[in-house]
Parts: sequence; structure tokens; C-alpha cells
Amino acid sequence: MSLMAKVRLPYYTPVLLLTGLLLVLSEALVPGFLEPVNLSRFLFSALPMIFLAAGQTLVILGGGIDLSLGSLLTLTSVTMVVLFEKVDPVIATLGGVAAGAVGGAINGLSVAYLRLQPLVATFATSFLFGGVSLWLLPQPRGTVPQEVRGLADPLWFPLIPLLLLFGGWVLLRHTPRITLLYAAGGQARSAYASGVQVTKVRFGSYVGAGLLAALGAFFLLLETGTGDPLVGQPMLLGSITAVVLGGTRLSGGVGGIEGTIFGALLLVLFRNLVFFLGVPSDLQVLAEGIVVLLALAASGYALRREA
Amino acid sequence: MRPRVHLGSTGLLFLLCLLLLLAQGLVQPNFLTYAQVINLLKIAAVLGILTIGQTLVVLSGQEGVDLSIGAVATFGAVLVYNFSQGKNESFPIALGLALMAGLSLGSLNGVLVAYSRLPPLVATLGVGTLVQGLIVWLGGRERGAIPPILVDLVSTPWILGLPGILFLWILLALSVTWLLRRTYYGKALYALGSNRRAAYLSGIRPERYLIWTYALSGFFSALGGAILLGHVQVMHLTLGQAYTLPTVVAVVAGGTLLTGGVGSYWGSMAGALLITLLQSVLLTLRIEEFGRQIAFGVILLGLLAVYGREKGLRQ
Repeated sequence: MSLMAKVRLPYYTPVLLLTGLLLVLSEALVPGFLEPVNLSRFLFSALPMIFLAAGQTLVILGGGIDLSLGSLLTLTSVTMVVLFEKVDPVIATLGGVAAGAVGGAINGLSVAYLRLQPLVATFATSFLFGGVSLWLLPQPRGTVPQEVRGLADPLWFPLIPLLLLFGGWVLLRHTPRITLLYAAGGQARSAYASGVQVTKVRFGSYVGAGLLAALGAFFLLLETGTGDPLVGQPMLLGSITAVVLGGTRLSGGVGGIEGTIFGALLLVLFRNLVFFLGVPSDLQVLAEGIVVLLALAASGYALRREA
Repeated sequence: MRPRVHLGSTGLLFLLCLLLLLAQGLVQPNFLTYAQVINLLKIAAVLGILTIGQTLVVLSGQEGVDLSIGAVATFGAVLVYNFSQGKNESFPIALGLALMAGLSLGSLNGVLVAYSRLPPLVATLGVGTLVQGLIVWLGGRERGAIPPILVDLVSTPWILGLPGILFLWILLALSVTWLLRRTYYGKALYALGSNRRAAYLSGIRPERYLIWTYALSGFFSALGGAILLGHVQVMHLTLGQAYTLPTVVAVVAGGTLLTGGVGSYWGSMAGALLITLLQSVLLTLRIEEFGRQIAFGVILLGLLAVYGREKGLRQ
């Protein structure tokens, strides 16, 4: 008992346990799931959602929400695909990342500086980004150069971005910049009164989200190998669900990217499981809808209890 | 006390619609025919009926917005399509079923918004996903047909070349305005939207009215979905999806504040007309799908910048 009292469990303990449980369950139902090959493939397929949800976490921590992140992922991936045909792969990738930053900056300008309501403003920009994506790439096409796709060949490849994201966040979490983000999201008015430049911090959170969405787009391209002008939009709700599952509060100021990583893993694991269990494809959407709704409702209910 | 007159007060908006129409007539001289105007009104009516629920929800305040409208409309259409089997006799039952489904899905939104602390946008987006699952599950399996009465409602002229849908729209508009201005529900809705805490302290139970509001939104979405089926005359699983954003734009353009408590359905009607005209202008200018999406996003941002700015932290 005395030991328990000393060890303070991290906020993401529940989602960590759930993820572990689902991993074991997957191995039990689909023998061989935990073998390195399969595990690597699973982690690889989860990378886009993890990075998109990590971006969403930044925005939500800062007290906002970004409904355009799915479209922004599309826009960045389409930009990369179009550039792959014309320029050096490195420059093309950087071009996509730059598109992510620009998109994030448009969101940040609208929400932080123009003070438009985040929900509706990013809803509006989602159509802006979606439209530009369709303009750049009207139909699914394009290929990712072989030397780029080759990056993902080693089995340990998915671990690198994962560890970088996790480690980077754990290291950065207590730096002044991120502390200010928590302050701005928790109590914007008090933060402002204590001299936090809330507007700047919020703007930064949207730009950061755009950058992370671009990284997600890159990993998605590595996996699919082709461009699709509608690829990201269906991932939006998943990104919010992953944040919520990971223990970050939708009202801002509490949570973090570590939890989101496990939240996203949990979501993708669940999808895989539904697929492996042979649930008919027309029921899979429904099954996921129910789980997403339950997760959202449970987190909302928990918030209410706390308040 | 009269609400403050906003830049987009309804009269001004209708005037703007008229100007757009005239402008289009100038660009395309053979455009301004009686039949063409009625056609535009028909399209506006479909959007307008789908906007009824959105107006109520936005009026309820605290960032109230219903993003499940498109999905619920499609679901209503699927039910009508599958259960009427294209027969007028079984249409009333099928429509009743669709409306009931709309009410229940709407109540689900309402319960989530009222009892969990989820932002309405997230809750309704989640319910929308669930409904999309229902649509794929139900709509993908059975075959049906469109009852002729629905097609007649939208396309057969009744009086002076005006089809029934226009009369239905006006009837619904009068009912909604009566509901908002003359009933206890309406007063409570405006009170909730302007100041939820004050409303609560004066004895209005927010949960009850929120659930009713979202339920009504589901009801009108399902009704709109059935009418949309008669308008499009083809059933597909994303029938109503493209209508979700325009309903929000119509409400915002109509001068209803996203913070709630201020606005009217007449404004939303003007908003629906404005969007329909804009779409028609974009079409005549031969702007493709991507251009229309971009235009919509930019227009919504512009409207938000005019009406929807939040207070600064400095006060």
C-alpha cells in the first residue's frame, strides 16, 4: 500500500492497460499476431493515425479543435505525390511538410488572430484544403519513388518514428513552450493575465498540428504508394477519438501525446480485430461507429463527474 | 426588446439574392425565365427544409451545431426507398418510419450533448458516423424504389407552375416560425441560447429542451431526406452528405448567431436561397467541384469573420 502511494501512475494508465489487453486478445484470436513481421506491419499501418492524432492533441491541449486535419493530411499527401513526379524526393517531401505548415498557419490565423470559433472555422478550412487537393489531383494516381518506399523495408522501421515522437514529447513536455500550451488551454484568461501570449501559443499549436499531419501523410504514402484526393477526411473523427481515448481532455489543458499514441494504437488494433474476426464489411463501419461513440460519451461523462 | 439588427438582416439578404439573380441574368441573357426561377426555388426548398433542424440547433447555443444532418437525411431516404418499394400506398408508413428514425437518432444527439460534456460538433459527427454505418448496412442489402408521389411533389406544377414542394416549404416555414415565436418551447430555446445559466435559474430545464431540439433536427432531416430523394430521383448511399455544410452556411448567412439565442428561420431561408444562387452562378461560370468547395470554405470563413468572432482575452 505504501509503495502504491509513492508510485504515481501516469494519466494514460487506463489506455495503456487496454492496449495491452487488446494486443493479448489479438494474439489469442489471430495466432501469430505478435510475431515481429506482423507486429511491424501493424505498427506501420498505425503510424498515419498516430501522427494525425498527435497533431490533434496539440490543438486540443491548447483549448481548440481542428476539424480540418483530415483534409490537411490529404492536401499534404497530394502535394508530395504531385511533387514526386517533378523534383527530388527529399524536396518533394519537404514541399508537403511546408504545405502542412501553411495550412496549419491558415487555421491558426483564423482561430487565434481573427478569433473565429475553432469548430466552425476549421470546418470551413477543411473544405478549402479538400478543394485544393481535388484541384491538384482530381483522381487517385501517382506513385511514390521506389527509393522512398524502400525506407520502410526494415522490420524495425516503424519503431523509429514512434520512439522519436514519444521520446521527443517526453523530453519537450516540461520545456517552457509546452508548459505555456497547457496554460493557454487550461485557463486562457488566467494565462493571459499572467503574461502568456495565448494568441501566439494557439497559433503555434495549429502550425504544429499541420506539421504532424504532414508527417502522417508521408507515412501513409509509404504504405499505400499512391496519391488519393479523398484519403484523409475519413480519418478526422478517428484522430479526435484517439485523443479522447488517450486521456486528453477535450476542454484543453490536460493530457498529452504519450496517451494519444496509445489511444491511436488502441483504435487501429480494434479495427484490425473487427476485420480479423470476419465481421461483414458493411457492419464494420457500424461497429466502429458504436465504439467511437461509446468512447466519446464515456469521456464526456467522466468530464462531467470531475467538474 | 428587439434583437440588434445585423448586417445580414433578412430583408437585405433577400435583396442580395435578387441582385445575384439579376446579375446572372445579365451574364446569361436567356437565363431569367419563369421556369428557371422556379427550378432554383425548388433546389433552395430542398436545402431550406434540411436547414430547419440546423436553425433550431444553432439557436440552442453553446456552439450547438448538427453535423449528422446529411447522414440522417440519407438514412431517412434509405428507409423510404426500401420500405415503400416505390408504391404510393405504402409511402405513408415508410415516411412515418423514417421520421421516427430521425426523431430517435436526433434524440441520441440530444442525450449526448445534454448529458456528456462533448462539444455538439464532436457528438453529432460521431452519431453521423454511426448513422453512415447503419446506411451501409441497411441500404447496401435491400433493393427498393422511389414512390411516384415524392417525385410529383417536387416536379409536378400545382398552381401557376409552382410545384407542391414550394407550398410545403412555406407551410413548414410558417409552422417553424410559430413554434419559435409563439410557443413555450420557442421562448425556452431562445432563452437557453442567450444565456443557459440564466435560463436554468429561471426554471427551464436545459437537458429536456436540448434533447427535443436535436430530436426535431433529426425529424426534419429525415423529412428533408425523403424530399431530396424525390428531387434527385436516384438512391445512393451518400445522398445527403453534401448538404451538411450548406445547412450550416445557410444558418450563419441568415444572421443566426453561432453563439445562439439570436436569429430566425426566415433568415435561414434567405441563406438557403443565397447559397442556391451562388451555386448556380458558380455552375454557370463553369467552375468545377474543387472550385465550389474552395468557394464555400472561403464564404463560410468570410461570414464567420463578419458575425462569429469571439471576444478577445483583453476584454
